[in-house]
Amino acid sequence: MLIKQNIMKNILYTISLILFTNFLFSQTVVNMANSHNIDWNRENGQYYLKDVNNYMLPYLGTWQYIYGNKEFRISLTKVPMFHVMFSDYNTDYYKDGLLIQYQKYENGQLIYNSQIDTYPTGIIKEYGKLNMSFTDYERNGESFPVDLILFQNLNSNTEYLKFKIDRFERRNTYYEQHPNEPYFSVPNDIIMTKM
Amino acid sequence: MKKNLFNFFWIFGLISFLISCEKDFDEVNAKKPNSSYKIKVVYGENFFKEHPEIRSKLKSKSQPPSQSRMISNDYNFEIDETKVQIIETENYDVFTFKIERNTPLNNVLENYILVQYSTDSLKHFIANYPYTEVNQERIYSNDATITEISNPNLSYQARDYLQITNPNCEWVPYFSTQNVYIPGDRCGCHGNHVYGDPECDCPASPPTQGHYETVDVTTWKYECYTGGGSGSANNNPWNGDTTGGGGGSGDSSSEDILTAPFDNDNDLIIENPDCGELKTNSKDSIFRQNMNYLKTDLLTSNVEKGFQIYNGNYITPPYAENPVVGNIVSGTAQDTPAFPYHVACKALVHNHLKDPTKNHIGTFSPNDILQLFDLYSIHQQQNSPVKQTEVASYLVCNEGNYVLKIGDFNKLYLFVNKYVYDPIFKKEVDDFYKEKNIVHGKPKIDQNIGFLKLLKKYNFGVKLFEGDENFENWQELELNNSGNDITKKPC
Repeated sequence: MLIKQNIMKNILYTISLILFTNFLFSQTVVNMANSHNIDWNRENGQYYLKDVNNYMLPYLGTWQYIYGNKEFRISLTKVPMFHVMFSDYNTDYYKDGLLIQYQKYENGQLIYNSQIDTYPTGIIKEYGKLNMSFTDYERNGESFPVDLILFQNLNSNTEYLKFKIDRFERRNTYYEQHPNEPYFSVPNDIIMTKM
Repeated sequence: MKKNLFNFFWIFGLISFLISCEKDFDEVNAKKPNSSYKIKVVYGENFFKEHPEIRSKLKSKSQPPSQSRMISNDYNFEIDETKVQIIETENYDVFTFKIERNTPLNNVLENYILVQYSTDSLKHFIANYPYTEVNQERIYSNDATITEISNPNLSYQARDYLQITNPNCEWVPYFSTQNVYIPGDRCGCHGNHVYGDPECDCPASPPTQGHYETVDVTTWKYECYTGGGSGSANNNPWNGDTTGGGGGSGDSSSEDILTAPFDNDNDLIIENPDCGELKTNSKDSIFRQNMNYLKTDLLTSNVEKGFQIYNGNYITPPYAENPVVGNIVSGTAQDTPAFPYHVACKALVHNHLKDPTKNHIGTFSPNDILQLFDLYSIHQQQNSPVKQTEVASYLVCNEGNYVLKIGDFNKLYLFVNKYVYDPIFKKEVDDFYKEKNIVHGKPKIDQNIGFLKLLKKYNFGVKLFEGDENFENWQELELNNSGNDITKKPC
């Protein structure tokens, strides 16, 4: 009887501890889709900017664009609940984001394989309209916003991805030094298909 | 690191700017005044926080503290508390308020003057400054009058009028032109002081320098006529000679008081130099004409356009005009014009296009912030006479007409340094724009609030202003306390 009481007591303690810990570390989820309407703060580690609607999901995987004997591929992976911290700007919060890696092929041979970004980015407020950062490693590693727009061919039920890097008022130090070369090292404003 | 950043922008400047090595511009450094006093204008809110004893001496406790006008039933006037002019001397401080009446006197500026002596005693005066207006400029005549009054007891309590001057004596004005201290912007760490103010001890705040300008100052001397001749009242009041003649012997007073006409609309000695600068540019017809052109052009054009604004006083030979507005030049579909550097350039103006295929936004881009930084940092390297308070970046877009001005250059430097050299931080800021709906075609209010949240979050020392459709009546935009709306502070 006494043993049974002790076991019950331990269970109660454990449950209380879990609840207390959960309370201590509880977070407020901010829906990325309408986060601009909410006055949430990025400073106390209590907020999680979350892709509540899973809009990022259909983007995941590898997409390709073939032009002549060349091919350009991007691979997107999701990082849920990434911890964002910038101590000098008192930034401490969590977010969902995507990582991007790209490859370039010529005549079927891999000629360039980029690093995988370590810092997830991406904001999506409505289905099929995502914006994230794209690092052009052959352009001094400058990053640019890229629009990734999903659409579907209803007849063939094929999914397409429009890939358009935005160069609106950006600095591209490589291009300033090499004005005769293309602004980006990768094809831009293209339609990609999922592999 | 700081040196590296400057080097970076210097190299960048060499690539993208045509550097004009203009060294022989006129020096316009502020000169120190000969006088031992200083003059400034502060907001009444700050003044009464710093001098609660003045309010308690002026105001009855029954009067609502939030009321921005104090009423003197004794003398049938109100004083406007929104701004106060302060003249500080070794022996006394002079606090001047503008008097408002239901029926104002024609072409007479009325001031209520409170003099606080180092002994803590107070004296109260009403000053009347008759003036004429020529080309919208006020010219004060030399027959101003000052009347010493009893404590006007600025409350709802009526009292009998009591003029306490000796009937044989009068306050006689002596006019002179003086270089007086014009304050810079507020301190970052002390709301009650302004940059350049010796009492402002903010070590980290870059000085938005206070400086000296020419102002008509009146020295009032209390002179009596009985028993001792006519005194010095007939001395030429314009020569600045306040030593007086033999003086009267009937009154032992030898005091004098400095005053200067104070009108709340006075641009010259206003606390916020940013507003004065915006107004100066807006008065220029070529500026407005160019702004109108950019506004119309952005609706249909496929390239950005812009122009530069110079302070002609810094050009050799001096144009003696400020502003001097440059010609409109074209950029590209995605970039502002490559403005050539000029040592007298004080502001850059450009537009963002309406064309949805160009993705331009309705507020300042990160690159616009860098460009503002570049302008002033290269000015510093080139020893340009352009002051921080003159530097601005104007933006004309479909959503509105905006100006970005530097409040704290050190903070701007830190932000730009981080944005340029930390690729992760750059991505975070870029995501911030999208997360806050600072995106082409999104509602103006979203984009403005988003940008103000960016300013608040990263605190990079710039101020945002918006003008009306005529590029006038600028207002400083700030987030409200709840962070969900905009507070507009008119210039």
